[in-house]
Amino acid sequence: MDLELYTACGPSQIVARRLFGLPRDVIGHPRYALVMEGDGEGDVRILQRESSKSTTATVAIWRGLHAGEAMRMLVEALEAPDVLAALEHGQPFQVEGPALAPTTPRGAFGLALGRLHPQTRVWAAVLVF
Amino acid sequence: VIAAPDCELYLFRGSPPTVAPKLYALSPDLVERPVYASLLRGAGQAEVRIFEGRDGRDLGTVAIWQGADPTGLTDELIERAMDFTSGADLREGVLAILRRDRQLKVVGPVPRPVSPRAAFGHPLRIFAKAPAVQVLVIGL
Repeated sequence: MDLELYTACGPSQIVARRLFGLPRDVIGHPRYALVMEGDGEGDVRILQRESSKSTTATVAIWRGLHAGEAMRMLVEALEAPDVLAALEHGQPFQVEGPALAPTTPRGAFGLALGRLHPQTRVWAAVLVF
Repeated sequence: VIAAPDCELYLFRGSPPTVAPKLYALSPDLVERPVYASLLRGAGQAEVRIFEGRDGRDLGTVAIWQGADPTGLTDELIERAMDFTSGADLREGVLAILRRDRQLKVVGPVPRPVSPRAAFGHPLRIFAKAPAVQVLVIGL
């Protein structure tokens, strides 16, 4: 199965800039996820559209308070035949939307990364599957 | 100048013609870092390649290993690369995983590749006949 993973680690402001600079093709996919961890908190957001032409999307959000949990979810998803099922497995996701789909990487990832202090050290991963 | 993250890691899976343009579209900043490495896997084989800059920005050495596809290496690299360490600790930790139990052949000094295409195009061509490949690159 085709898969793309883009990750960066460091101060949140620098990590955000790197993700905002990703090719727009990344968020042109109908389904992708942002998985991140910082300040001991994990955050997973899965955006889904009906097709790459759909202008609206739903976002399923999970937040965890245990360090390492988001990494475990990411690594398991990378090895799973069904990435979505692995990401969601056993986790209480809250679904928001449908709402307008982001049209830029900044629009897609800015909200999650922007709530952290710029110097907070994070890792963030964008997974296209 | 925008500061680089402590570490950046990218992974692509798919057929070689599908993976190549995504790999080549990565920012040239990646291959300007002091150290970057790649792990290619396909058809049961794998290649590790480490570029370490030296003598300023324009030259470096390349260490290469090829062999049977190692299990678990991808996950181990991702977890180590994102473990919130930085600097020499992070760099040496990741390189130690790549070098462990492998005899890498060192070539160079060689000119620093000017783009992701120049850096990863040749390794990817080695796997051109594989039906599917996984390419992982790390900038440190």
